[in-house]
Parts: sequence; C-alpha cells; structure tokens
Amino acid sequence: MVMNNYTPQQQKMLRQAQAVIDDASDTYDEILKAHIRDLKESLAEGNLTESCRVCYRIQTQATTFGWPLASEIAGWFKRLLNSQQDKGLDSAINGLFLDSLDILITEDLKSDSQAAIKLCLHIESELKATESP
Amino acid sequence: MFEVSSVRLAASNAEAILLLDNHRFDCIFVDNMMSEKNGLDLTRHIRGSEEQPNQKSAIILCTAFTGLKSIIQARDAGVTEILAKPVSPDQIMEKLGNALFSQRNFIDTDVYAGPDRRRRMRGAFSTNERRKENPAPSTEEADKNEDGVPQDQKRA
Repeated sequence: MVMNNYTPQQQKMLRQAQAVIDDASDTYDEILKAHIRDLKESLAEGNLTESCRVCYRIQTQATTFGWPLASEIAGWFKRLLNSQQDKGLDSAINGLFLDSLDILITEDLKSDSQAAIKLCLHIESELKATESP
Repeated sequence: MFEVSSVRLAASNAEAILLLDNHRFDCIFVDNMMSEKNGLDLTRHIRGSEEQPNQKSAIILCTAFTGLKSIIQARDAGVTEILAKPVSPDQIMEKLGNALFSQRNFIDTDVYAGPDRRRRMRGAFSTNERRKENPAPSTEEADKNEDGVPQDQKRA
C-alpha cells in the first residue's frame, strides 16, 4: 500500500481498511470454495452465463483477499467460457480449469510460487494440446 | 479530510433503486456486473431524471472491464470515476477523493447527464477573431518563393 501521498488521518483510515480486508482474507478460502462449487454446478447445468458470472466474481474478488492466482485463472477461464457461447461447451477445457482451481485450493497456491508457475504452464500446455488437430 | 458517517448496502438493482429514490448520498459505488442488470443501467437510472435525488451525486463504477470501449461506455453513462477491480484500500481512497473533491461541472442535456466528460481543460476559450488579427498571406505573397520572386515569373 502506497502511503506517502496521504495525511496521517487518511493513513489511519487505510490501515483500518486493510485490517478489515486482512480479517476477511483469513476466511476467504471458504468463499472461494463455495464459488468453485457454484461454478461446477452451473457448468453441469450448461449455464454459461452463470458460469461466466461466477468466474468474474472470483476474478474480481480473489486478489483483494490474497488469492491473485485464483483471479488470474478465473479471468482466463472466463475468456474461454465466453468463446464457448458460440462454439458450445468444451468439457476438456472446462475440466482442466475446474481441476486447476481444485489444485489451487488443496495446495494453497496463492501467488507466484514455483508450484503456481507449474500449474499455469500445465494449463497452457494442455490448452495447446487441445488446439492442435 | 473527510469521514464516512453512514454506509448503505444494496444487494440488487431493485434494492438500490429503492434506496436511491428515497435518500440522498454523497457517493454511490456501483458494481458493474450485478445480478439482473448491469451497473451502467443503474447509473443511467440515477442520471436520467431531475427528480432523482442523487442525479448529481458522485458515482464510482467498480469493474474489471477496463478496455477502452468499456471506459467510454461508462463515461457516456455518466460515471464519475472508474475503480478497477481487484480493488485495494488506497485505490478506493484515491477515487473517492477525486470524485468528492475534484468535482467537474455537471452537464445536463438531452443526450447526456453527468459530470463534464472533459477532464483536461486547455485554458479559457479565446473569443478573438484570430484570422483578423493574424491574416493568412495573400495569394500573391503565398506564391512568392524565399527569394521574393513569384512562381509564375520564375517558370517564365
């Protein structure tokens, strides 16, 4: 957090706000798990609109609460789901991202650790494999 | 320095409209992707009527869509500031400060209602008739070359 531009009172407000976010971050993994469950359900129902909405929710919330990798993967998935609106559901791609989100939770992958990079590279290579004829 | 005395939350567009139609707020944070309608619809509702108590209130749109097209759409809907998601406290503070303390003129026309969309002011508009003060060269003068000889004489 960049504090230099603020008055001491504003800095105090920012610290309080950050403390609230930090508190919420402690339990955000439960919210993230619930979002992933919702995502699985909406995909099982073939509801792409709702799936995109859940991905957007993860993409826009997770970084704030300490899960930037979840934001990154959800944003990536959302873009691919959008393209499925025309092409139809792609169960291979969807399975790949749902598995990746599960791994992210079980291995507690929050940011750019070696394991996180490995997961991203795995998604990338699997996507390339699905693209090739 | 400012303090926040009261914060009201609305879980849906309908709930937000009910609140906004009956209370005046200094600043409204609008999520772009709400359940049934998007945040720009709500912004247009707020800006669209002179009877709306919050027509001139600051509106901060929270969105992950920060491409040029989305920014222009938000600006044209009458949004005051755009807060890019994921958010952080200092970003919120910065946008809140801009929205509340660097207010632009409110424009209310048939085609647009919202803060002045021009952020950079280029100084006062000059009403001087610049062409009279600094007339364009006559065709004869323009025709002359650097050595003062008209083009047609040179060609001859």
